Amino acid sequence: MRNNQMVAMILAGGRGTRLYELTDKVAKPAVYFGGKYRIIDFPLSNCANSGVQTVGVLTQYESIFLNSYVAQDSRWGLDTRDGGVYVLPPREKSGGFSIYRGTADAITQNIDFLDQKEPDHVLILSGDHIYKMDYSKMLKQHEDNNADATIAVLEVPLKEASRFGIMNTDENDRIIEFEEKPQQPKSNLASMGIYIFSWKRLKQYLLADEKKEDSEHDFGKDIIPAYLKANRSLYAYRFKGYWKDVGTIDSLWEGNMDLIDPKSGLDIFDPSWRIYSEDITYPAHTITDTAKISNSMVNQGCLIEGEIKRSVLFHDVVVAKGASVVDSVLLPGTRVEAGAKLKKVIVGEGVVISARKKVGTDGEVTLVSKDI
Amino acid sequence: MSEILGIINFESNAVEVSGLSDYRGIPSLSFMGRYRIIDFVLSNMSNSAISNIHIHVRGNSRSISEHVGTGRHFNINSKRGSLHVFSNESEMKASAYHTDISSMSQNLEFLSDADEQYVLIAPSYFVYSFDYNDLLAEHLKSNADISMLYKSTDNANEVCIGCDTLSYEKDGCNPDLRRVVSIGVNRGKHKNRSISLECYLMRKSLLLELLKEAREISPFYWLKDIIREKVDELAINGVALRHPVRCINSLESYYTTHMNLIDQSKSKAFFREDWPIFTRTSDSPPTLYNSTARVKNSTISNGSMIMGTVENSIIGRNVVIEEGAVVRNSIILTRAHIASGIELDRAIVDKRAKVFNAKNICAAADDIIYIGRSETV
Repeated sequence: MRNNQMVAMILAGGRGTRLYELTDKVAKPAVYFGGKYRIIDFPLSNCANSGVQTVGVLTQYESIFLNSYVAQDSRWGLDTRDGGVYVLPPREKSGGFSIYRGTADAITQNIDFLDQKEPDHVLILSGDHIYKMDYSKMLKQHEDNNADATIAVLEVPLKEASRFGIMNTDENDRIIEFEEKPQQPKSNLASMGIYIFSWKRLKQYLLADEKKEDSEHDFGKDIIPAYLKANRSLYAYRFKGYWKDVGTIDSLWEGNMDLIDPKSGLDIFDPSWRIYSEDITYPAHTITDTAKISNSMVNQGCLIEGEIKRSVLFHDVVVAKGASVVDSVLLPGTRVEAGAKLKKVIVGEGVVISARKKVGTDGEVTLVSKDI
Repeated sequence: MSEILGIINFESNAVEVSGLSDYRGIPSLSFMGRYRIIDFVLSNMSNSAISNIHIHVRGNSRSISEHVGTGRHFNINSKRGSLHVFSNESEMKASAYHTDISSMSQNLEFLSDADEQYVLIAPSYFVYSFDYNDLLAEHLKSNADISMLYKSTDNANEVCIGCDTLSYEKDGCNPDLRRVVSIGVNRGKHKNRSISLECYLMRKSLLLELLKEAREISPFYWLKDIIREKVDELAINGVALRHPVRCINSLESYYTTHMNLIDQSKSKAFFREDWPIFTRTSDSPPTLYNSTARVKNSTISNGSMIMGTVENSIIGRNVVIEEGAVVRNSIILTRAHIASGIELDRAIVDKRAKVFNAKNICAAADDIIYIGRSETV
């Protein structure tokens, strides 16, 4: 992709309060996922694989770790001569200091950054979704339609449609109406929070929105409705494939379990669409003769002496003899001592589960964030 | 900045891992699933803060060049540090002329131009984790001309066959000098031997003199030949390595080392928490085990899909073991594919090989079967 054809802006400022202790010290996009990744590795890898070389990451909540994590752009191959990952937290300006007041405001406050890059189009992404998507295909449709904006949509079961922002379209997939969480949904096309805007036009709307006192400065609530009101050409881009918002403990657990379910549609083994991440120096993992392992995903540096069933293990996890780990997600450095039993739990980074402790139930997912 | 220039040397003709080394040099050989042999000496240098490194490669340098890249993933500063890969471009066709002396001599200006006062020369095929600054400290204390690392072995009748051995004496006037008095060859006749790790530390100026002198004597001379000849003339200090060492100089030692290091209590001395072994990432996802996987006592790398039975084996990156396949006492390298119904015992399956049709590939107790790179059997 020509370098200034499209610049991506990833909204990564959210706290993710429904992930509880997992986001005490890091923002939601930096939360671990899938045995070796962090959530934001997915949109960043998608950018790299789609040929989008310039990526701005808008951070706000607990941004120290996230800023340093994404700044190492070579991890995703985004360290090209003209491209790069740009960390964009709120900053003090001559007019004073203001935090990002909404998704649209985060972009408005970085108009100078985008103007410097002079892109034809801006791709707006969120930093907390798990999916694999070729943004260059979406851009092609956007350009073919000569659209002002294109919104990626997913067909969801109609009975679940009231949980999403729903796009009502005409026969050409031009968006005629947008309804946020409608009681009586008229369509099943749910917005994925992925937008392509033609930059010049978006800039006009952002500057106008900035002055509106009653605006929440949000893409879904303010910018898209303003486009529709002015009869701008907005199109839906139909995405087919796996997509998941992992913003709760339950959905984070489900997303991890999807990795070991061959029917889930989430395939991270495809060599043509690798998900890139931090390079860890641990050796390959070891399974001893007392271990038993099935339906699981295990990263490097682990030592498995116990039983592992339907679980996802990050690097440097030790599961001692006689311990059993079922339906669980163990984050890096977890120690499960001899005879401990884990069932349907997410264990936080570096947590020690003492010998013969029993944690978790068949019902709700249990989050263990302290040594027990 | 380190005072040491690192030189990774290539091994002599005597070192050959038959089959595997037909396709690449020893330094590029896969090790413990996710590493290459060269990762150890290179990580040792990098962790010792040596940031100017010359890698001499015998023959084709493509795989090493790609593997080490700019050195960034080996933690080497790409501006202040430098990594040079030299392939031996001798005009002489016969391999006897392709010595380390000729390779270093051909690239003499890189040596002369280096700012470092000392050079550390080490080959890849001895695997250990060690801080070379400890060797420098011993060297300075001893006031020697050359310090060389050795490992005391009590099973020299089984390992390190063909390697140099050394004998030393306490020096009468200098208690810090363990003076090397002779250098021989381990023919496997004795159990207790001090094996030279072919790791030498000396002033750069001395190396330049030795190179010159060796070329004047014979075009077939290796660095170790000229050092052996200088045993009486120069003060050579033997420094014992306390950490465990593995010598990869034959197919058998390659195999035995792997089988031995599945045991984490043994491998952890090579993969110490404070001494990371770097390698090039392949961006593979974690290993996936399905419901039919049966795995015991094995080391398994990322990107692999395990659906069959794996026992006492090492599995490299991105390997597929299908349901119904049985792999025992074997080493399976990157991207190999073992189909359903296949039974492997004591086999080494090289990169990208596909084992689809042969039913049982089981070697006799003291034998090892090798399946070549990209072969389909």
